[in-house]
Amino acid sequence: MNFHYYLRGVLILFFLSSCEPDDICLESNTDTPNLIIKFLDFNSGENKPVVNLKIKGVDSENDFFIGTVDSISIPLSNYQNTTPFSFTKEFDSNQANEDLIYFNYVRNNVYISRSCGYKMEYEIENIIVENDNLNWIEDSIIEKRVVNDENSHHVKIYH
Amino acid sequence: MMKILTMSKYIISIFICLIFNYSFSQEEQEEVIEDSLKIEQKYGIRIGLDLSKQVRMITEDYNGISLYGDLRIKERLFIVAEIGNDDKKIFNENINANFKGSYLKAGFNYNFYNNPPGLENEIYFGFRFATSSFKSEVFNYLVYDFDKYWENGRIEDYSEYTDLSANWIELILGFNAKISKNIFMGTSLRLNRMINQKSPENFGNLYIPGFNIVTEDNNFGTGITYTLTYRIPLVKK
Repeated sequence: MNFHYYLRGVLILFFLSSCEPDDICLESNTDTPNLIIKFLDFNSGENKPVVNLKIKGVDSENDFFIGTVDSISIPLSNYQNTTPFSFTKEFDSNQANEDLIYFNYVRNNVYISRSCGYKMEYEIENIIVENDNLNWIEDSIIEKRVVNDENSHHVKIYH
Repeated sequence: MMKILTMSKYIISIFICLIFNYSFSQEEQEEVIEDSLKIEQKYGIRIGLDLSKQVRMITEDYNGISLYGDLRIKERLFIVAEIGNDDKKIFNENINANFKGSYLKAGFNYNFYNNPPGLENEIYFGFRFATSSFKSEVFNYLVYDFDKYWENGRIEDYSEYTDLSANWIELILGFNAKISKNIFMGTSLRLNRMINQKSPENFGNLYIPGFNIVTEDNNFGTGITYTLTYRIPLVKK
């Protein structure tokens, strides 16, 4: 058989091998988890929604959430070990009460894959509610120190 | 970047095709003259360079060199050794990383092409066992996070992973053509099958020197070489 035919065959294989598959990150991969907070009654320990709650990151210009809820999941910053949030209760009335909460944590990067890269997981060290003599937040308890999924709440806030 | 690489492969393939066309038609004419002569098979050591590395140094963020050597032990059988090193940067949308190390490949080529008398071209199947030892570095990454409340930019967080290794086998289809006395030009297409690899705990081997790009959940890889070899005429049979 002619050397040429072989040669052309090999070259065609080269053309085919020039196509490499792109790795695509599938949305089924779990991403960086949010911190899940549950609001409870300080006296009874029962679920108690916060009425007209406004949540805003202190370092952000946008409100994160407005509404009445008994639990919320908030994103922690991936750039620092502290994320301060402002939680305002009954924000639309003259009873509005703003509390500042500092979430302190350690960040751990976790490799997922070439296409998805890294996600972040956190280990909460403490939660500090800034004392302003009129705090609506009575107490906070860390229920699950390691934030590596969004299956259940990590923090309880009593009010 | 990928497109430039792909294009360069095409251009080089066409270029090589032209060279071979030229050299082949030349040799075809010689064949008529040599037909009545007694054919002398040359055995010897060939040494060479994989030029695809030099091309990649232009088209990619890459540095490397690969040396090739073979020894003809039977009419159709060559023992082959290849040694080289790679230093490759991976800049994708999620991770900036670097992979650096050296590799050794050993095996054989079997020439299944029946040369017309007087020609010394080869079309061969080859097999290699390959081993690589390397290190990787991560410079920065983007955090995989659907929540877009906080600005999500790259996080500078340098880590280095040393003492990594991989072993694999390569199945090769290639050809060599004699372009002048004792000088051969060839190209090969390789299918690599990973046997084992040692990857770090919190990172993956996205690239392995000698093996090339490693795709997810896939033990196969591909490689291409363009070699220029010189035969040291030691033994004549």
